[in-house]
Amino acid sequence: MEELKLVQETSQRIFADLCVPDTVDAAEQGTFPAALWQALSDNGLTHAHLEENRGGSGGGLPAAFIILREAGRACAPVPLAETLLANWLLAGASISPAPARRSVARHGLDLSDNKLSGSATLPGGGHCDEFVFLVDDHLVVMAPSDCQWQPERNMAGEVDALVTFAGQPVTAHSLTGEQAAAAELFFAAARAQQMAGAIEAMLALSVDYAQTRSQFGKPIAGFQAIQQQLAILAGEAAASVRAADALLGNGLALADVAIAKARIGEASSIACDIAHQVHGAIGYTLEHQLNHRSRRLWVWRDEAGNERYWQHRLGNAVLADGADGLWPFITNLA
Amino acid sequence: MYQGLQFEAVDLPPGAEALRADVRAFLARESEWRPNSDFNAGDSAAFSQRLAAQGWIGMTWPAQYGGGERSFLERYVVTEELLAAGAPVGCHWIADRQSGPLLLRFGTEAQREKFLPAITRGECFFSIGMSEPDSGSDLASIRTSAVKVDGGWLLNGSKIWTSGAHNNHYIIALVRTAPASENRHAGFSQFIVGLKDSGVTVRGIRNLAGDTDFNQVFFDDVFVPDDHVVGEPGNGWTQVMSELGYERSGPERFLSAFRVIVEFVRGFGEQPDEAQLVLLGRIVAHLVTLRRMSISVAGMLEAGKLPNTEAALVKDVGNSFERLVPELIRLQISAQPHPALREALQDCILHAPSFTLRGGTREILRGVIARGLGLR
Repeated sequence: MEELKLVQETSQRIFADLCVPDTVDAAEQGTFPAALWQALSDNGLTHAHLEENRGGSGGGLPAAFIILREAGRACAPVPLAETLLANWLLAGASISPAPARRSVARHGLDLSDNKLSGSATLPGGGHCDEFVFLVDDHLVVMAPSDCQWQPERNMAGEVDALVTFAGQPVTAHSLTGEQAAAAELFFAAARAQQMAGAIEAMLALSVDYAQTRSQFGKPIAGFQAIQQQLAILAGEAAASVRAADALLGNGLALADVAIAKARIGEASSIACDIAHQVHGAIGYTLEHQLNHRSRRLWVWRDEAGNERYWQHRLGNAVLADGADGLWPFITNLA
Repeated sequence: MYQGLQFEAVDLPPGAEALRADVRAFLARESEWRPNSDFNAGDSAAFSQRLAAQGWIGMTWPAQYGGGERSFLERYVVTEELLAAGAPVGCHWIADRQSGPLLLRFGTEAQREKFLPAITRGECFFSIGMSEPDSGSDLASIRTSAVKVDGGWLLNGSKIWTSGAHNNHYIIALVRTAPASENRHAGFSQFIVGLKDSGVTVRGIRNLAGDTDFNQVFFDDVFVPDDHVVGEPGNGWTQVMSELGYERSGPERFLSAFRVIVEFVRGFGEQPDEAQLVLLGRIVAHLVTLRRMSISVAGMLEAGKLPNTEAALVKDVGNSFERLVPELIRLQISAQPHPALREALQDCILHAPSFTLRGGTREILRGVIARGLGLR
């Protein structure tokens, strides 16, 4: 836990110094935050989860998730979750990943006779040095310049890469079936961490705003209507953090990932609703920093499987134990 | 800048799983009640006594008073197993959860020796005397009062919504013992009053579900001896606040609808449809998260902290979830649900309004949370 604390503090410091609201705005205007990425890379945060023989510090998945919680809190406009996933997969294929910005596409492609076909979206792919494709149990790594791709701006103002292949010969690396299947869980867990951090940030911003903004002769925090709404938001933030924290100890268990992504997805919708309501019109502007979080939450809740998808998978998992197995199913989850 | 509330992950202690297995084995031998996870739903003095014989009432109290000296987390395991199984815990629940701890914290030694062992044997049950017809959320406005007489106090007034008063042995009543002043919270005491004492009248109130466990209790010149004042006269407000804050976060605050969920799953049949599975997953995601938050708070209590805001938060999120469950389930079941589901659902719907009223209304809890956030 000491190492995790250190990772957390290092991340917080880097984001506090190098990811301020102006950084996020500038990134949306097209200025990639190179200094931020350099600091993340130099401090080993893109590799913290890897074993030392793969260039990491042995922090495992908890390290990656802690970093992503802070990245979400700060709305860091960099493909960090994607790079952490890519590096984890590359290490699994016995590759020591060099420092680079990466993204991973997991759907839509077909690999036969080492030829890649189909089209796929790489989240955050607009600013990557390498594209990584996961097709069944295989990894293909390519330079963007060797691919046919176009940028696609999402609701949060971040740029994904939409890539198309038509039978392109490639070299594939092998992964275990287990790790290939776990990639989906990793990415959902990653987004869950970012979302939990962003929701906590929205709560902090909203409380601060309510205490500062005055109307009718007093801070709006003095009105019960505002207090009641912020209490609801605090409940959703607490639930989100608790669900995300469960992934720090329990690894990538399906139930825990599904619970986190589903519960935090629900929380994110409520959080955006209340935060925007409390901030009034000023919070609705592009200039105010609230939109950095809300637009990202609106994107992230639908990525890596939305609430319905993970609720369905969780429902299926629970069903296997039947009605009388429901309580033991619940008490078996730490 | 707001710093955030902490709900740290807490491990259940070693031995918790063995304890859990013991409780399940005990419950498997018990079967004469209809399962209902609402802690208020079933009372059985006989069941409470059998539970007491296992050492599961007063689990955290000192051994000298008949307690088990076990941890809050171990008590948590026992209480959640009882609720999930829908056992009839109503008789002893209040005494175990708050009346005993109140006496431990603020009572006299004589009161501890008199009442605690009997509670741990499942032989002594308590009701809460706080609300009055004109005083619900505004507890400080209560008017039940007592004047000093030789050897004790003369009590007049009435309390309302006193669950179990028709069956229980004592009521711990918040009473005004000094005139109202500028300090709204001064001048209160807590009295232990025998529900069969001379001058005490209990009148049942039927709720819309048809139960009469609600009551109004009238005090007509009731003599209360000095040794039945809990702790010091005048300390009532502090004491009652600690009593209220203490167990707001327990599993009873989000498990009330649990049996409905179990019967919902049982009713799936051969091929549940996607919407049913999605709803089940949604419910389980909420339930597991609430349980983790609740255990966090139990861990904080274990560590001697006073997590008022966190406890209010768990209750608020939990109560809202409990109310939502029957509303969602009713739309995903067959028009002819199996009898256990139909009964559990109907029962839950009829009792659901009380979930966000009892133990602190939703609106009051949100005010407590807002205070914890620094908004008031």
